Amino acid sequence: MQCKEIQDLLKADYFDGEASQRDQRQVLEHLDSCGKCRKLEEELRTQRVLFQKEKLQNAPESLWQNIREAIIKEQLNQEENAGYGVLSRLKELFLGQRPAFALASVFTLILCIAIFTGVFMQERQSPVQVNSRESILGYSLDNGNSDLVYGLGTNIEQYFF
Amino acid sequence: MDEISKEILKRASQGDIKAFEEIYGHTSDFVYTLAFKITRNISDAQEVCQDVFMKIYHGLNGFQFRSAFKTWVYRITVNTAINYYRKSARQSKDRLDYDGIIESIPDRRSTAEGAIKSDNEARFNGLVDKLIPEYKACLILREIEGLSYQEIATALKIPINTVRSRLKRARETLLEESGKGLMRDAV
Repeated sequence: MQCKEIQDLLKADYFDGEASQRDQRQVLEHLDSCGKCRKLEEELRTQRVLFQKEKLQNAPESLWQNIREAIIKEQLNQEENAGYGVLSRLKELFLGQRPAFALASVFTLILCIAIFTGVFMQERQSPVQVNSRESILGYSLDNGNSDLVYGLGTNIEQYFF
Repeated sequence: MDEISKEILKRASQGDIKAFEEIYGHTSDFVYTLAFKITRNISDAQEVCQDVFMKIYHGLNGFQFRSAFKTWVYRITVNTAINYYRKSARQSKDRLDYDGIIESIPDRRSTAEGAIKSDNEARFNGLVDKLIPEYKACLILREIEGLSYQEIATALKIPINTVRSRLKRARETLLEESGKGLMRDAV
């Protein structure tokens, strides 16, 4: 092998323990006889020692606090969004990209309200009417006091009184 | 960087902050060191770190254990730090002025061995700073984390030959920059 090939191996595979056994042997044989390549190998070793001297640095303590706060904030936002999500899904269901469905839903809703209100009012109206009749009758029956009697001016009134 | 148990990773992916703190404890020094070595700026390194851990937090749910967790962290850290380095508008303004340090230190300022060593370390840091971030990342993963070419290739998602050529180029650059054999004095 020529110096160029040996130096290429020195700067990468040989130096990093990735060279084949055959290449390693050839490099070692070459280094025994070539001062220039031996010098290169020394320089590379020095470089490595200096690089490795720059050890791991400790992350500042405040860093975890910042990350922790960011995560907690995000978790709270997610919880809030989960509640909001139901509303937004309903909104999307009714006001989303289905105008015909939305129209039908609104029509059905109005119809239901109308039916419900109709039935409810009918049920409530009967006793009111009875009560009003009873009250008129009540007034009529125990009205020894003519002052309390209101003149209604109807045929029924005339019949009773 | 130590390997972290699946149990802790699973708990962290479910939002367990204590488990995530444990992951942080195992990985933060490496992530911070790498971020600092690439950005060469303390506040940038801190921002990169925060970004990396938020990415890890978001990505844990989808982590499939097809690759080792630490390989995944290497990749996120290197990519985030390199992107940050490139995007940072302050990169030339606030970065540690190693060029200045190199200029200001005379070759034989002191005969004290300690002073020579620290001078040479500062010089060397200045030389490392001259490397492009991709070269620095490969060199850090190889020299500090002791990863093989295959592991670096997997972590950075690059071909193994690219790893080889980046390491070779990085070492050539350092040798060219050091020039006068000053690095020998440091050891």
